[in-house]
Amino acid sequence: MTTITGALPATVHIQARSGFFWDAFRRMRRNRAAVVSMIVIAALVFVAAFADVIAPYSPAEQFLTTTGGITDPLAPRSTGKFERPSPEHVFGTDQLARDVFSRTVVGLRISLSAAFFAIIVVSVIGVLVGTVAASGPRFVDDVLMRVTDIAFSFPDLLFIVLLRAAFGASIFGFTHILGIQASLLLLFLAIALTAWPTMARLIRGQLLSIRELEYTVAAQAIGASRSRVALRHWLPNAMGPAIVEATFLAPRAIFAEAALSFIGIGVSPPTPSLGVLISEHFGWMSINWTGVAFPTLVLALLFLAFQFFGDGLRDAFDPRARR
Amino acid sequence: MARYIIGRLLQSAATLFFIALITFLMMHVVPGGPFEAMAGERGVSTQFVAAQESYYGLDDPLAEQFVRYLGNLARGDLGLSFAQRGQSVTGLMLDKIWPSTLLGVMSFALVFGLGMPLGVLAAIRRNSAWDYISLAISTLLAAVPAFVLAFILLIVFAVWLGWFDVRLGKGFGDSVGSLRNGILPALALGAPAMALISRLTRSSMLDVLDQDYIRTARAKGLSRGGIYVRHALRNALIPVVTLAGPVLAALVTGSIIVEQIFGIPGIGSAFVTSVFQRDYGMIMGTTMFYATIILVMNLSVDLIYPFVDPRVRLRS
Repeated sequence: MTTITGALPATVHIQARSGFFWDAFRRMRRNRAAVVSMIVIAALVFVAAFADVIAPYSPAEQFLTTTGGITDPLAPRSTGKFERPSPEHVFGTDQLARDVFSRTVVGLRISLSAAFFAIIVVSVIGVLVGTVAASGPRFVDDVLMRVTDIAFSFPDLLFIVLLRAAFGASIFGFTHILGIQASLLLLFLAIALTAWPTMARLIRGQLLSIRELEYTVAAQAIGASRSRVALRHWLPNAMGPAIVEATFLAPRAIFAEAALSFIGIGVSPPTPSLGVLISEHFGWMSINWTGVAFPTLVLALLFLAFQFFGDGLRDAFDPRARR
Repeated sequence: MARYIIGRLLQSAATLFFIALITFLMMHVVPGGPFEAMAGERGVSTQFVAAQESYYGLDDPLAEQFVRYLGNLARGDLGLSFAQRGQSVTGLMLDKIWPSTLLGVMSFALVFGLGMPLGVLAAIRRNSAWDYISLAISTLLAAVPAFVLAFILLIVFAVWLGWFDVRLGKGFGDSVGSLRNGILPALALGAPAMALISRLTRSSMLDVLDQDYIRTARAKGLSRGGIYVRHALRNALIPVVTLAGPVLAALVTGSIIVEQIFGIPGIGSAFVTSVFQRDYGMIMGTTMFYATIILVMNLSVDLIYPFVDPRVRLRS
């Protein structure tokens, strides 16, 4: 008896707020890993967005303690370089006596920008190509799918390296676009351009299969207009997998940025990205292991948060799919 | 079947053509040709650069150069390297392909040899310590970037434990003994794929174990081991096995970063060098090699699928 009375308010709640996204949201809330990941992502985005305020120092500021004279590389710690973590420098200082915490915070901003840029560009191209291919005439579909095949078969890293080399530090003569370094923008764009084919194929496949499903036929049978069927039935159902795919793009883009910066064709120093920080500090690992550890931890945290969040989203959007 | 294969091969050839075209155009957009890059280094006169460019036909219209390249390519001639004078791209690439392929294959063996058992174990002992250990390993492997993992491996096993030479990439693939040096790079390269394969095996195995025919087999009184091996595993591995092609392609073509870290003289590092040297022949050669592997492996998935899963039929 008590169970029934206990269940009633919940039923009322469902009736008050139901629909595709609300259902998904409710399922999501029960997934502890996904909720924690969401909070972690929100916190990291917050830190990245307010990097200027949160970073205690400028990422380029040097804290050399010796004034003038020759700095002895064999006694690095007396010079303010490679300081151990302390209240003043939470993550310590690097080989140029810069504050690692400030650099990590700014680096986080660059890594997250790569992720969001990739998500936006891939979603726009993917949804556009996928939708047009699925709903357009046959030959348009054929042409678009061939283009997708070509992009899909192009070796990712080769494309990024070539594009970076082709443009160098400017896009058609501009070194800065909307205040962002052209080389950075180009790197983000290159990463995004290698990832859109998967999204386009996914959207197209979704739309093609949804078109044949019973609820589409049912909606048409009770006289729903074309646009209503498309907007109320197709879009939400195709959106689920697309959103999940977009979430998984984030860790891929972040890793790509880090790896490219690491081999020296990504973000160029002194601009710090997590990849730049990790690769810079690797050379000094034996005297200053914390310099590598902290940016790597942030990178791993970012990756795991997006991964678990994506897993949670997938389960929430498709309750039939088991893990 | 034959019609289907021929159709797909023609499609692949067309794809290859466009990849060649895009690479060719991007390459020529890059400011500075191969000889200008060299001239900057060694202080060669502009007349010499011009003479060299005309000798190699680099001052011809782009379209003409591209058609000439395709013609040579069709005859299996990848041209000459501009950076390593007097050497053919084919010869240079053959030297570089071997270590990369070897590394890819070793990594492939690790990915499937460790990933699949890990996944099966996790599924059979669901929610046990094994399951969580397997989850922890695969999460960790996927969450640490390859270059970080590479360095951790290098520091732990080469520097601290001294099991490997620090410069283990040197001479990799030259002798049977050098294969040992491939273990660390193969692990670093294959980590994300291993995580993927173990997770996929687990979920696929769980799906199969839930099926009616497994219950029937149990009801008949078959042994657990027999059911796992003869009934469950064979079906559970269908989606896993079909990934073999793309995974191998990804491992052979995705080793640029790992090669750089371990100093393996493979084709990935050769490509990065050739881009900076504007070595047109090498850039084109590497790209075509990579693209061919990816295309062949993707095609292999579609061709193998009907054999492992008789429910699937090819349509032409």
